[in-house]
Amino acid sequence: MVFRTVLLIGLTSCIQSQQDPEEVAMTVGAVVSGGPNCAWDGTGGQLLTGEMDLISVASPGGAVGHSRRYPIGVQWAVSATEQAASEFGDSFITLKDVEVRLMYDDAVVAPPTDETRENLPATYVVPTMGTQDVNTAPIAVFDLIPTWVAQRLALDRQIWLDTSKDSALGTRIPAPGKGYLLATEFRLRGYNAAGKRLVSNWFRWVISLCRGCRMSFTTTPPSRPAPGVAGFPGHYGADEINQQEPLPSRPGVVTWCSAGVSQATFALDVVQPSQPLVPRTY
Amino acid sequence: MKIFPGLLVVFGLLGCNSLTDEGQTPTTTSIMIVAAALPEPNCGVGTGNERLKRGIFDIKGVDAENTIGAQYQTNLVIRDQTQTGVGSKKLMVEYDFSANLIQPTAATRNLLRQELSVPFGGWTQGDDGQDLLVISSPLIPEHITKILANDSAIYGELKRDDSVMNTVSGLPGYYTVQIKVQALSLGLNGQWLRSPPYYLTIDLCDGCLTRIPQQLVQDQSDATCHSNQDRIWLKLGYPEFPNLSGKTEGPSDEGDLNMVLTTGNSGSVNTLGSLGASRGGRSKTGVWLVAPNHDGKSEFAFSGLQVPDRNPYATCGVNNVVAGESEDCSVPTYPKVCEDGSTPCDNDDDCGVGSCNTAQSLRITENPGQVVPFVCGTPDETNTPGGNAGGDAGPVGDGGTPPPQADGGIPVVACLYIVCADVDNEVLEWSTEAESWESAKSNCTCYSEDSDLAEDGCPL
Repeated sequence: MVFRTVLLIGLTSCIQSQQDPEEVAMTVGAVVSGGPNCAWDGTGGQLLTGEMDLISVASPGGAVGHSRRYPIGVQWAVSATEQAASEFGDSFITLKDVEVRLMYDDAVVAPPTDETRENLPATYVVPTMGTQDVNTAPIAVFDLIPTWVAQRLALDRQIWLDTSKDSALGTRIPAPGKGYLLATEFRLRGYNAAGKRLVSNWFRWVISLCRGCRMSFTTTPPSRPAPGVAGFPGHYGADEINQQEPLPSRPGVVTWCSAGVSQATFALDVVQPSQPLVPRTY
Repeated sequence: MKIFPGLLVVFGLLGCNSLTDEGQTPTTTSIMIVAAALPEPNCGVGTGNERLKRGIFDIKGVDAENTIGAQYQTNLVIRDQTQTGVGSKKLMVEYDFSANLIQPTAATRNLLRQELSVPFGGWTQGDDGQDLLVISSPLIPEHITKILANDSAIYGELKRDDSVMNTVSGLPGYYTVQIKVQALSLGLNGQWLRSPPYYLTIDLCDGCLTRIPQQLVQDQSDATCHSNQDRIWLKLGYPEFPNLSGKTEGPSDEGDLNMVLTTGNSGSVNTLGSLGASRGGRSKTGVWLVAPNHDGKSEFAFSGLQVPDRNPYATCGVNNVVAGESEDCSVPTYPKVCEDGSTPCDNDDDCGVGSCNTAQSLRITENPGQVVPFVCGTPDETNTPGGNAGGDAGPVGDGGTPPPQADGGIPVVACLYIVCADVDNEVLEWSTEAESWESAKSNCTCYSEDSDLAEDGCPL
């Protein structure tokens, strides 16, 4: 009896410290473009809407889906009240992760199926990094929609219906012009130097999910070129891909921040597993 | 009973301790990790460098023993308010994989459960008024790289066995590791100083930075400080290619049955070094006889050009052409013919009966059934009939009969040759400029003994 009483008191004494409300000490200001180099160096400007291409994300066997995600870079700042504190004291903020929630109820279209919603947590956490730094506007980069979430969204029947159309063969095929608006909210989480847990405001970001609006493949599924056939993986714009004489002027790279998302400067992400080097005919 | 309050306090504190994350409690804010810095292209790194937003670590090529010695090197900007600059220095590192749906195997988790100590040096007192310093240390050392690269769960998530996705299509899988790191230093007074934690997020991948488009050319080595990490956008530089061009000066002497073709390489690499050369840098340089319109000539499409068959009438193999140099080979002056003297051929197989031989002259059909031989050279204008306007022998492109020699020998006429290098496209040439047929023709040159004909009649 005494032991239980002591244990209870011991636990009770901690309630105050364990139940401190999370302090909103950061403000997310804007979503910024990754820029041509995916460096999020602030030169890419702000984004107003998001777009993610789900084409082939859920293809059998993973196909081309295992590296696809929706990364995002956000400008953030220390809240005014925290700013008053010393730049480097206990209030110095280090980011650790980001809490994300998908807002189905705000959708202007039918929400994802119950199966999808049951297979996704109410919120999920993705890692990020950075500090409030000195003399540098901090930008946090993280995967707003990691691959495992994207794959579930790509498998959702409702999203499929809203991003596809009927074909002449009576089947449904991707409709690049159609989109499914998915509202998300996220907040940054971190610690100050004293170890106190801090959060940012919830920031809303709406993504248009589509199929084939930003990405296409020259072969499906991608395959290794036959021996002796020139091949060069690359990130080609529509003009380059249609160039008659082969050899696009610049073989870009499909980066982890540009594969089917609206972060980079390419008009279209075209993955070209087999380079169309047409032999010259003399 | 007097000890009861004391027990309450003790147990109370114990209760607190069991629920508090000690790792989040900093030892001091005298030293703090402010950021991770990206090195300059020349690998210099300073406190003002661009910040790393997301690390990328390519473990391609890491085998069971990590024989390539891959590790993830990190440059951390540290604020050292004490500027002790002495004593032991190390980073306390913890790995977290919770960002992934699939966790590493139990063996890996056990191996990495404990806080890892990574030493670093070079931390000295900063300049006056400068308390920001940069340190460099492998946050994923070689032996940890080996563990991660050989973990079966991570292997599967990275699709390391899928070279098509990881290398060819350029959509490599990734596996996220978050590293909690704290700097530890021994101060002047013998007191350990431990910084608050800093979190570094790194994506492991297999082939995202060291992709080798194996069928064409290798990536150019670029000014990356650590070839396996971070700067994904710098790795694919323009490949270098040979730039071939063929030419001839015609037969050395009038009447020679052979002439020299020269294949020059004005590119920056040897043909043998081009991975596009499917036959080890060997290609062919070919020659066409465009004019006069001789027997056996037919048309083939080369951007609308009308050039003679055989297509080309002769080629010669070119071995490795060193950058900036050239190689000569010898070809017949006239298209070969079979022993019947009239059937064009490339080799004996084309003739069926008899052999394919170098022709002694060209043949044109003046009238049906009447074949007249002639040779290439500079026509003797004094013997040019009036029908040949301007006294210029000119091409006999319309099949007209060349004038006979004054001595009654085989008539001479100006010929027009086109010589093209790499006619079989074995040595790929990839210009960084926009390509077109115009640039494709850059492999070719025209030659004629008649300068007017070479200038006006050249279809290139």
